[in-house]
Amino acid sequence: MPPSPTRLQIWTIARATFDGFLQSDLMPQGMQAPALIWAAAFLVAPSLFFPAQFMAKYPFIRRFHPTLLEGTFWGDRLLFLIMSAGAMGLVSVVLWETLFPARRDAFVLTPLPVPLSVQMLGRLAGLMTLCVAFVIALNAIPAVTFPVTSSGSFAEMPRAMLAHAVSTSAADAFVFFSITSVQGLVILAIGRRFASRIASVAQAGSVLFLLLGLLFIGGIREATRDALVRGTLADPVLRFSPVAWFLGLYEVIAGTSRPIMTPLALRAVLATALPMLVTGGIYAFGYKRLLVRAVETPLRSTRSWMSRSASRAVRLLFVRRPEERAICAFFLRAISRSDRHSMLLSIYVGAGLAMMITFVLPDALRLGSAGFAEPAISALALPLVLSVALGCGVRILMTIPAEMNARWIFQTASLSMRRVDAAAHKALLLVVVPPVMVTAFIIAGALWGLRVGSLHAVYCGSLALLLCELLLVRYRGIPLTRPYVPGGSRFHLLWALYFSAFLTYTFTSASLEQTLLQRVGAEGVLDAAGVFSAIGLGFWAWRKFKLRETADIPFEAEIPNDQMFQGFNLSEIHAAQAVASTSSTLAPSSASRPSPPRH
Amino acid sequence: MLEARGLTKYYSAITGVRDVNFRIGRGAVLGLLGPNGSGKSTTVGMLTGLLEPSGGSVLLDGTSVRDDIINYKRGLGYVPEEAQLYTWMSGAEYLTFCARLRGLSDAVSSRRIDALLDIFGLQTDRDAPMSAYSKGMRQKILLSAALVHNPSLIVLDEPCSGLDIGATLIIRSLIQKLAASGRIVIYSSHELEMVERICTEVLILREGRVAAHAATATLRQQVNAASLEDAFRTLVFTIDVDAVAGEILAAITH
Repeated sequence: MPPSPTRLQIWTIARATFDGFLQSDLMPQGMQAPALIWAAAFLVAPSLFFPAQFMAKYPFIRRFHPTLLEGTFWGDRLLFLIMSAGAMGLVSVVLWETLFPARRDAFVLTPLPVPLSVQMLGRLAGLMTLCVAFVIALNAIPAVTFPVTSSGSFAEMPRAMLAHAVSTSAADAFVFFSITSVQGLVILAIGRRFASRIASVAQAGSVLFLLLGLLFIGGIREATRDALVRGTLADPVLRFSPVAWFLGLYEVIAGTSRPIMTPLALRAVLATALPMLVTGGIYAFGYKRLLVRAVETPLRSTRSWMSRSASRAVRLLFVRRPEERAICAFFLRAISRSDRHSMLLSIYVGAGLAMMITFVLPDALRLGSAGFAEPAISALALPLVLSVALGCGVRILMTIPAEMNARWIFQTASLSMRRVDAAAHKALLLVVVPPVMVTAFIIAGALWGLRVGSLHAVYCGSLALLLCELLLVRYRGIPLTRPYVPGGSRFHLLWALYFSAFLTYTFTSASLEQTLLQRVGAEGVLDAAGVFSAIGLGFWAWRKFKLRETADIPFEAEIPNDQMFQGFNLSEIHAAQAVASTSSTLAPSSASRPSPPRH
Repeated sequence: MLEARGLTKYYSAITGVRDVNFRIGRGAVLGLLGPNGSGKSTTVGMLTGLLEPSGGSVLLDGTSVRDDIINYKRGLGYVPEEAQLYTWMSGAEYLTFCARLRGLSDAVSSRRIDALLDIFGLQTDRDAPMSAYSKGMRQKILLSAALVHNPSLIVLDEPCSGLDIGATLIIRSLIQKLAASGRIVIYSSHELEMVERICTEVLILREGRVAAHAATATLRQQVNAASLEDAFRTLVFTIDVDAVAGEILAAITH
């Protein structure tokens, strides 16, 4: 019997919605599939690695330290819960703008002869399918491998598998629907314009929160384990930490005898159900309003007193030539207004803030304010950590195209390579150096006075300048106008080098500054800043010299020969898709194979 | 004088255009006509520097534009066929951006942009993101961006697409005035009536080759046609339109 027309409509809308999530405008065309493969590989790897390790660990503990078994189970189960929920949180942040119907959905669906209730059910079904798909992708393998490797007997395995599957799925659903419900409530209560305005802040905050969860996974496990041993339900950790609730659910299903786990499990069930109900309610009762908001919300003016003043100051002081002003303004507007770029920038800022907190938190917890009475390395390194996050983030953003079809304006403009390079250089410096110097001044000024604050700002500014020059050494072209080819940094090969460079840049530089402040004084810090600036200037001059070899402004991708189709490699596929997706655009290149343009 | 000499473009094995030759003097308006796939956009792409010819060259006043492409582009104004814009910018921001890319000082560009936005009735929406603009508004922004730097060569690819009747009439008159003031205008369109009214000469492309190139009146006489539309039908469009329309109707009612 064929399905009823209504069911068919719901199915069609659900499928289109689900496809829409994965083909979000936030990602460049062709990037979604490889990105998902990368994400899956990243998430599945630990789920295979840890159980492999547990094959030896659990028999050993069972035999020689049986009293530690329960605590070990808690720690490992918490690990899986945090990793799974953290990954789901990142997915929700990436899909942020697509979780509720937007203007395009309203224009596509509203004129169709489809009742509003059917539209709502279709979209909700799509959202649920997305959640279920990610839950399965994240948890299917560990739900089998972890119980198999950690259970004492075959009889225990099915229950352990069920416990793992249910509790991790519930934790994922809690994170996913909490984010959707908060976003939906903001749109309904305050408006879509405000929701999109706070999107960047919320995205950065979510990334910060999730990364802190992952970075402090050891501390969270320890605190939860201690709280469970204490066994008081009023304990703040058990009261406010969702991770403890979901561990309670895990333990109850796995068959624990501890009575404290039952109320924790109930909290987990409530915590899962409530955001789901709120999201369902928003769709059921607010769908029409969501559509109206999507269509009728006037777009805010791009003009504001602050942006005008800032742009005038930049023009007067820093970017004087018209062509450079155009490219700088284009880049700055793109990274703040293009959904894709602002989301990525939020992620980098969130990651930078998380790293900064990771740097100071151990000292702050261990020593309190006494740890910062004198200039401490951990605090001195904070602006440098920010400069790495901002510098690397913005440098990556420069390579991710924005509206490739609109780049004809650059291709038909009379631009010289020298002007283009100067504009890209100034844009990077503008985004990185001032925030780093301000952060350095505020942190050091608040902790150790204005004099140290000023010195620290100059020192960090010079290092940020040097970092920017290093990041631009091989950069050519106009930011955001060339196809994206990932893998250029060869992170998979050079990660150890990058990591040691990061530690040298942050910790060693901060240690040098601390020594200079203590032994030489202001003069030493300023001399060091001068040396760093001079090295930066040297890189700048070298880049300008090399620039003479580049006659035309490049608009096409440069794919190194050794990255082209030499077997199954994700970055090669990624690169190939990124190039293929842009081959239909008009471009003067013999490197690519453009298809005939439409007439 | 703008000259295309043996312009040829291949896309792998596919021929975009082959051996396109024409000359157009200052003060003239060249109409570029042809059915879909005839090579109009490819020709425009090569004239604007968006596409590199596989063969032949474009010359301005006897010098290959490739010798000093930056100087050539300095005097070029271009309206593309599709309104491809950075829609997160406002109209005023986009025009300022284009003016700066053309090297205009802020004082000059802001005066001209204000005037253009005023004339096109976009002053009230100047600071709204272009994602909220209608097709006609975007087209007006594209036209303004093509003219803001006072170009000497103007290439218009379907410039009236999406414009209302009033704006279309203004553009028609503007093109004639631009040519009268000594500029070269290349006008690519499917609107034969408009081409007939404003173009001093016509280049008709068919399957990537020049089917005809002559002054508009001469072309009509050559093929003994009452209008440019009749001449176009004779030279390029040999399909029985009524029969095709009948087939479409039959297909949807069958």
